[in-house]
Amino acid sequence: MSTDLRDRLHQAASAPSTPLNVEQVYRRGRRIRAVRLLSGAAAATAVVVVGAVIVAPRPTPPAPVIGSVQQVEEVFADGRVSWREYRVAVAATADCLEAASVDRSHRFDHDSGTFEFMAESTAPFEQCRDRHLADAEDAWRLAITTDTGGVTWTELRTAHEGLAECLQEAGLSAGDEFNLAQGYWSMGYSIRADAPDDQADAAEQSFQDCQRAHDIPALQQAWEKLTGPSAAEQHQPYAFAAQCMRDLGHDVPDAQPDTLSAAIAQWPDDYDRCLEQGRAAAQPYLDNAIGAGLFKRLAGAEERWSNNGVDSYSYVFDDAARGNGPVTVRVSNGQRTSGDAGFTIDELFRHLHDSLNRAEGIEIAFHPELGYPTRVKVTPDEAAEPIADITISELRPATADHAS
Amino acid sequence: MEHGEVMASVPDDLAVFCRHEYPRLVGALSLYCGDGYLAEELAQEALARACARWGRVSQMAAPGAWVHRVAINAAKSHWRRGGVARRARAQLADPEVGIHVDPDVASDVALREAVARLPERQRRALVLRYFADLSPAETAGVMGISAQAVRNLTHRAITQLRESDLVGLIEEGSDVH
Repeated sequence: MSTDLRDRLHQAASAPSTPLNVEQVYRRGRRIRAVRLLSGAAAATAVVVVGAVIVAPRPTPPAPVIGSVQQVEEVFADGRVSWREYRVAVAATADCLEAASVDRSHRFDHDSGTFEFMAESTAPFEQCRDRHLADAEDAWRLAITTDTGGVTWTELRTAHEGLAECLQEAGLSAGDEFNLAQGYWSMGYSIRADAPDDQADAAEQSFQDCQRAHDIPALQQAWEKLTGPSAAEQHQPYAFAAQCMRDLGHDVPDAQPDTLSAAIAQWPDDYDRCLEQGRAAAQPYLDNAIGAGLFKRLAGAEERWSNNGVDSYSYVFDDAARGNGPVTVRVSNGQRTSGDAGFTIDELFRHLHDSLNRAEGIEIAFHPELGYPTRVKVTPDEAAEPIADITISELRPATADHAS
Repeated sequence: MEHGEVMASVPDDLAVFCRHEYPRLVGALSLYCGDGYLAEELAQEALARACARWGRVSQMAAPGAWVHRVAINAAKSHWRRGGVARRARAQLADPEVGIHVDPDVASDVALREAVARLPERQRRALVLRYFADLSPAETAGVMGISAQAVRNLTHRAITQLRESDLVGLIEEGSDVH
């Protein structure tokens, strides 16, 4: 009987060595709460600062400092995972499975609100999941199942099913589709094109009534708030765009996130161009699950580095895992001329490809503009120490004198 | 009570909840992590988080399941940081460095080791379902999977335990297919 198993587990498990000090735990909880409130305020400030650093005009002279960019790539950096981040992590897991010659197919499970992989329970899946998906998925599940006063996946699904029944009872030919881009259903109805106006009006009225009866607009709004990009992520493209406008000589004020868009829209001629640049620069922040989409990110970063055409430069190399550095590496016409411990950036890209092909655990941060890696951490086994923990900073294109 | 004044600020229902869940969390986490000391740390961390948002947690349908989810997530985070895994592995390699104050019978050590060798998801499902005594639906909620998937995982876990040295020690319950 299962009782035997339960008894055996209870016998084998540990009992607390001392009784719980409830008062102490309570105080600890109050500190967590205080820290959470404080860090929420700090995060909003930090995004503006990071944005300003990344796109700041390069000082001249001396030679421009391009490196020393602090990147925010933690999946929990903003304390939550969005639908977009979750999907990026799922896509990265599928890429990982494909690289391991395993079925990459997966589907969205409407019961649980999560993706399921065909390869689940296989060893490669467990490895790929741990590397690309586990953190994002855990955060996603926690977000959509925890009742925090907004909406849970179960509530949203139940309301949607209620809406479908309501429309059916109202005699409407309803159709629904799960919108993968947004992470919820789009519900519509159809009537004959030649239906009289009064029938069309009645159908529309029924549709609106059913939506209201099941609180659909409010639930969708709550869902978007829960799973859409965070306020900081929404702000990021505009922070970049504002700096772009400033670079063009416009006097963009230091506006709050909710008014920055309006502030930069004062100059419509440059608005679209700068916003497009801002959105491109913000991309890594919006897909910021650790390791997510690594193959694509690596390819994109390498292309940015290649397009940049910098083949003579210097940078500070530091490998904390091996205790090499910091040391200044100089590269002239693609060849390393000093810095025994370092690599050229092109060599580093080749090493990264090799590591990825060996399916080692890798975390990489790239310079958002020039594409070179600013941080590389390679851990062959998740439980082991990293074999490389490289930081690249202060990358400076060489002047003509240095290059020669 | 010695700390009567300060304790008065801890809501009664929260204190009851903490005292009830603490031994369950420590037991579940010790099986999940293979480390009793870590289990106590993580259990206290999970309860502290429950304290931090008790207003909301207390309104949930299953606060116990919620705090188990938080605890398991905290364990996984610790595990990924590496040091914990080394400690646990060292313990498994040397059962003498045990986590029990009382001498363990050999079969308990064997069971702990066998549980520790299970794949993470199987281990999680087994511990939540058969140690923490969460229902299949609650376990499914904690793990974010269907109840059927919970049954599949626990079935595989029990099969694997049977295939270990524990053959004959464990019989499967009627709710496991």
